[in-house]
Amino acid sequence: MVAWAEVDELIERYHQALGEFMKGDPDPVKKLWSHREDASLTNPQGSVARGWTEIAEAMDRAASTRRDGKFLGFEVVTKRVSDELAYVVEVEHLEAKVHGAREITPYALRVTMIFGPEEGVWKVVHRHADQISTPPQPEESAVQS
Amino acid sequence: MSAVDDVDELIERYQLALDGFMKGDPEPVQELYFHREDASLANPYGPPVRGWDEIAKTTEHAASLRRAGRARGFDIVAKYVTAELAYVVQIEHLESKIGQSEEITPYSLRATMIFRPEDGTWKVVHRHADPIITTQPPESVIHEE
Repeated sequence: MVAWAEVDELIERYHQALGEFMKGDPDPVKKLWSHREDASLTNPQGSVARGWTEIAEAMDRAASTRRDGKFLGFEVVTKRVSDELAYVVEVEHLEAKVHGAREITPYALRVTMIFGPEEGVWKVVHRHADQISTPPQPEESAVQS
Repeated sequence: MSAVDDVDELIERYQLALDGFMKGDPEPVQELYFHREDASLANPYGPPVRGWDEIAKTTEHAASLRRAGRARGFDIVAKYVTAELAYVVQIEHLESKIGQSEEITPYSLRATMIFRPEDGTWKVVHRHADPIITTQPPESVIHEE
């Protein structure tokens, strides 16, 4: 299936772009995103960004706090591709100097990404990422303090 | 009914089922899930799980921590429906007694849900939910172990 190959390629390019993101550059990631008004980003810093302007701002903010990092690897939990929409659930392993820290710190994200084709090119239409990747969380962790 | 109507109805049923979940009953939520190996869940407590057996265990555990609660309301961030896959991004406003607490605690979740039809019935094939609603400091991605 053509769509499978294109979605796999987009996921691989996104991982490469995350390597640049971890060095502070959001542009390679941004190039893979849909600019549609109903695109959305729920990132680990708490954003609920909708539409390209808000998404770009959220990514600029997050990338600006990362330096000297890289994309370490990933594990796919599940993936599904149709002609009009596709998604992947994965755990991403990353590392960077975060927010001015001197040491490089590794961390992991739980990620759901959704993709759609736009004029023949597959783009990211949604990304939900958070740092809840190590069990167990305390009972109260679902409550925002 | 069109796919859009079917998906809207599933979203509404899930919202009602969450009300039961907040009272400690996981079954209404479980009924709306695909009971299959490629279904997945990344809930607020831990790493993503895959397959119905794991999803059932995870939802039972989370519901067992909740009593006397309810769903207070939902804000849809984005929704997209195609013939074979659909998704919604929403903020869920919930409240319940959590764990041993005797007080009802309100909280909100960011949720991404993905749906697909099988034999004409749409079901939940993936859910990703976290309580990261307020802006987090950049170093929040790093766990204090």
